[in-house]
Amino acid sequence: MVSNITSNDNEKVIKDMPLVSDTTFNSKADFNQSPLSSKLNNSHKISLNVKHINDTSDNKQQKVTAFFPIRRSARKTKNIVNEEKQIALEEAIASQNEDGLKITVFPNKGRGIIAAKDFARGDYVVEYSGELIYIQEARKREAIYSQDISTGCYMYYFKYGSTHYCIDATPESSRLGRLVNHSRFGNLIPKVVEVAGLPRIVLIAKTDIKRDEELTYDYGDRSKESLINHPWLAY
Amino acid sequence: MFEARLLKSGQLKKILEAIKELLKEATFDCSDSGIQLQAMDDAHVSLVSMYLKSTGFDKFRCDRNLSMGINLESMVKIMKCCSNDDIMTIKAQDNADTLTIMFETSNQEKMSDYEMKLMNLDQEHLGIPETNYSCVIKMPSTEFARICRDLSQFGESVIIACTKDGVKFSTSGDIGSANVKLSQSASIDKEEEGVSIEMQQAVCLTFACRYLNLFCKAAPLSPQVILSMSGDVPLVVEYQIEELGFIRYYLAPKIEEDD
Repeated sequence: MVSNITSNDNEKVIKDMPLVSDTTFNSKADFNQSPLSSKLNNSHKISLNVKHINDTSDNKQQKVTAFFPIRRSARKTKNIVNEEKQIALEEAIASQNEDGLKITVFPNKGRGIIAAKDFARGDYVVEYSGELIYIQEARKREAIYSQDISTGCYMYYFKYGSTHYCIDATPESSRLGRLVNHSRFGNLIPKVVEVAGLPRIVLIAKTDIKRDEELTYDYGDRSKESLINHPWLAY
Repeated sequence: MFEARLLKSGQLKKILEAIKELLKEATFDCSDSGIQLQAMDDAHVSLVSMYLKSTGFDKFRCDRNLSMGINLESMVKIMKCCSNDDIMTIKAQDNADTLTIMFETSNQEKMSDYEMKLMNLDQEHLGIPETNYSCVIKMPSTEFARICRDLSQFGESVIIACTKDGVKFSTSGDIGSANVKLSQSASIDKEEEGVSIEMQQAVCLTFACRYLNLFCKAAPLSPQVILSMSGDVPLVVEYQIEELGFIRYYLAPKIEEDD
């Protein structure tokens, strides 16, 4: 009996159990199902999200250039440097800028130019401007000028390429380049610059020049005849 | 004239394997002090910075600084022609447009040379500021490769969170989520076998798995990888190449999602 009861009870229990377990299983299943579907939805959402991320991944992903600056080398090739110098000189010549220069009359040698500001070595100072002529023409003019002692020497002879030229700055003008005096140890150095196919003479600072220093360059003429006529060329 | 002789050509092979998938081409800048390379991938998301110091080579001569634009795919092809123990010599004239690579077997019975055309690459150089990183994690390079590979199965991006307890790599995606947590090794016999974390401040950043996996190609170069992180700056993944130099990868973080 006891065993029966127990078996009955067991049966009951067993009978009951499946029901309970069924229901629990069902309820669990139900419980699971709703979350499952929601999970599915979720996963769907997640996948949507992922797609969304995919679409905007470019926006989310930052670039290293946002953190590290692009380093542009300040180094220039020699050609670029030379080109820049040439352009700067051409601009300076075209501007006819003669700032920082002052005419001064010296008791022993007449007019001269002094610096009204500091110039650094290599700076453009002034153009030796005048009329560009060929050497044959220059010789003729020189002959005429030499008849009048009061005429100074404003003829700048030079060779550019294979051609001998002269810049004749004898006629009085407002330009200051022609007034720069001679010194064998001058602080300027002449330089030929080609502008629009024609040579021009510019005076470049040979050393750093302080304000109020007289500007001079070496005229370079050491011929006997010149020295007789212009003994100061020796200094 | 530039000439560099390397006793184990396998080292350069591994270096190329480590960068060839990120970069198609790169400029090798040679100077007295060694060979440097810096280049970004096409998307400008990551940056490779490599330095091979001159003293790491058997012989190194560089009379004038030289920038060699190299197609890495071509170089890989050449490097496939040698065995790892071959002695390798790289040579270029000062203004050359070609690079000569020579291999000799260690018994010097076989010599081969290859000439490769150089390219003129106009690449942007980035200035990388000196940074004191908030977290520096050292771990075995194979472990890092493993984690990246495992996590990339689950999601496209991995969140690396470094706290005083350890470092956690986590990701989530369609199939679910994954977390790998490493804590500092208690006792280490060999430094490169353990995980060590130096931390000033906790950092949590998100990175693209794809790039991390590409960085892991450098694992054969070094048993240890060093990850350096700070808030909102690129991650640095560094592999020291024994006696020769290093490869560093910089990876820009992703902007974190608002959950």
